[in-house]
Amino acid sequence: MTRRILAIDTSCDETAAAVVGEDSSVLSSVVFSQADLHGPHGGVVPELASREHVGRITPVVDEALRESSSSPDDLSAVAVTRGPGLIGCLAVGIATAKSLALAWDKPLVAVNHLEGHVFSIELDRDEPRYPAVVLLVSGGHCQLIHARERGSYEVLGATRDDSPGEAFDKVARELGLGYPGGPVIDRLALEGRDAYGFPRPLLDETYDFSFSGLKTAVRRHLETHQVDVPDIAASFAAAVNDVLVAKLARAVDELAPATVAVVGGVAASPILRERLRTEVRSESDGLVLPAQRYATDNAAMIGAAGWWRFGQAGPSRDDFGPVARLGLVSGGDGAGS
Amino acid sequence: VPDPDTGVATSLLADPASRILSRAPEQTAELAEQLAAVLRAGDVLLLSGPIGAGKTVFAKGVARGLGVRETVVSPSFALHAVYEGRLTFNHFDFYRLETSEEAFELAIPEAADAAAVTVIEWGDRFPGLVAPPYLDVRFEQGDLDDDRWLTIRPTGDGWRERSARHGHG
Repeated sequence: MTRRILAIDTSCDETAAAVVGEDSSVLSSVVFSQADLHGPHGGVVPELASREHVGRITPVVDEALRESSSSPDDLSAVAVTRGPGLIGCLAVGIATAKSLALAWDKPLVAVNHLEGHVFSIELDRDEPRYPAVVLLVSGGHCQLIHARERGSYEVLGATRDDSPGEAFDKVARELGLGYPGGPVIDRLALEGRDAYGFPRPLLDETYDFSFSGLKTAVRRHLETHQVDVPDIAASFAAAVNDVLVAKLARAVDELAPATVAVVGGVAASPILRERLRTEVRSESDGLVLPAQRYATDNAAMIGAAGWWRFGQAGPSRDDFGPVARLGLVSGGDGAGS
Repeated sequence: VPDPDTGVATSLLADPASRILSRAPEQTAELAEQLAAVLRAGDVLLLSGPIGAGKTVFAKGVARGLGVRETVVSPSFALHAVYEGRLTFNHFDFYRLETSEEAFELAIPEAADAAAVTVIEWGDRFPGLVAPPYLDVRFEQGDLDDDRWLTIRPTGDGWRERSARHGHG
């Protein structure tokens, strides 16, 4: 039997636990999200309170162990997200992981949530070839990364204001649509066309991103015009995707990586995935997209990154705590041994 | 570095509820940067207005005025970000929150008590959650696409005295 790690992520809205094999096989991945419950009613966001994580964490961990038929004896280590995220939410996962590691006498591994997203492409897959260019796009993040080798990161560019996921959510709310905004706008965009010519901010300059002006342009358009909602959705999604695809393609041209990956919640978008395949690389030519359930926040990716960090540096020091803002750092972020 | 005894920001403080027209995001950031020069540890600013009205641009300007060098981004998703400058810069955002209990859990008074300036976007979402004194900064769309009307209202004790000290009359 492959060795197993229990991984926990409570960095933001979701309470997540997973059991992951040393070969990055996912033995279980449990994500408790209230977005599923509230989405159809429109505009309701998940309960963000850390006390919600406190209530959910034990059943979620139990479920991850049960689904993978794991007992504590089967585990080699416990991995947990240290940051970035909300301090109060992170603290719930960390306190839980520390308690379990102490009770079960297992090594503890602190994981950077962003590195978890990068490792989402390894779940149930072979290790990708390096160098890689990785676009990390989610509700809270937007970074273009050059990974010369596994675990080594150079950030080529990042957002200067909003993340794409945030822009999707805000435009969806302006349109009176549900939460989260990405899937709703994607569905509507298929029925509309790119009729409004919204701006493509910073399209040809820099690897940095800016989505604030685009969001503003949509609001102004809604205030001053009669609009067709599917066309607005299609025009907005086209503008965001044009920018993401163009910058990624430019980096791929410049760096000629072996692997091109797009990770994070926005990477779950069927429209973006299709455009990446036709406009950047095919999957037979090095494009790697995580399974949709591993694009959005989950703990399995924390398990995969946890195995990597554990192999590189062993257990983390036991005095680490939550960190709200944390960048991707090559060779770990200081919580290692 | 703007002179704290002159400039638009101080006259705004001296003349509560005055309205000022910004013609571009850069101008909004510049105004905020000038205002930051007169801010002190413990000050709280509540920003309100529609999406794309300039709240994050304003927050970026305050941060720059406080000597923050990092890129300040929208905290809508993260809810709270902390940056270090001449003073600590707390950046909160209520956009995603549905209940005041969620906002309460952000422990804003604790963060704002430290040697920090605190800016809260969508600060009008939960009236009464943040106790005065604070600066109430409102953003409205003007006639042209880039035009924004900014209204800055000192609310609660202390601002009147500081306004008088900074005033020209």
